[in-house]
Amino acid sequence: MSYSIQLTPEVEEKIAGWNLTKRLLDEIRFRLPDDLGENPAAKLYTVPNDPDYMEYSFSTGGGELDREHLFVFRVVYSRDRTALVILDCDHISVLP
Amino acid sequence: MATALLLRIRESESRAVQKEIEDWEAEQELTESFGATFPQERVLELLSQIQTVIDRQLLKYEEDKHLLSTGLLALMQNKIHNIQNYGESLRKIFENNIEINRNLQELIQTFSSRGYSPNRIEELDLATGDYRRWKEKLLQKWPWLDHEQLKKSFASFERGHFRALKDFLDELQHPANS
Repeated sequence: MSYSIQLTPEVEEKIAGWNLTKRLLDEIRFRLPDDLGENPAAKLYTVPNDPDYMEYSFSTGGGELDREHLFVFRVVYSRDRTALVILDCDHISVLP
Repeated sequence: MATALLLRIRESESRAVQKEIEDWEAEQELTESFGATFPQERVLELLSQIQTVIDRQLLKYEEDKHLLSTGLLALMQNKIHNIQNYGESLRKIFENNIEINRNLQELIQTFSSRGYSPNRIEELDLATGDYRRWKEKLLQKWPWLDHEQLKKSFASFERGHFRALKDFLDELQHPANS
């Protein structure tokens, strides 16, 4: 069973504020549904001391100025367990 | 896993050093409260112990520098699956060492004012400066859990305010079509 990926307005605002390139937005567009949404049990980690939230992260290199990028998403299941809702996210980029 | 274990060991080591320094301070305060001063023999003994701690702190500083760069590399390679705890451990190590070095520097001043000066004080100052910078950078850049943000976002979720990732990205990438 695959899960749809949903975002709250707070997460939308954050992602929009990152001003990511098309390539990185496409990474998010495909990674979240294909990697996380297809098998969340294997991809999500519980956050110690915060069992209400789970974490999914991925990193990607190359792209603009050859920077390394890390994306972290804090996730919950929807009540009917058909979707994964992203509640918060982070993005770090550094030169390798 | 090995790095996580190393982090816990470093935390416990720094607590042990802190205790050692507190014991010296207590001994010094007790001696002074009796209006006495340390005998020369005890001063030299303490000075030698302090030098050992300074040397050890500088060795650990090098290890922590390596630990930080290894940790950052692992983070950027998505190899850390306990991001919050890992960041907390690094923060504690940096804070403990800032505190230890501050206490050491106070002790060094006390000894210097009596004409005794340990070696490698400048190196210790530089190490303390680095720990402060590392801590600041860690607090600013590490992907910490933001409980306020999560609470706010969860409230939106509870109200049914969320939409599909694809719809959001379509709108973001092609605003004219939305």
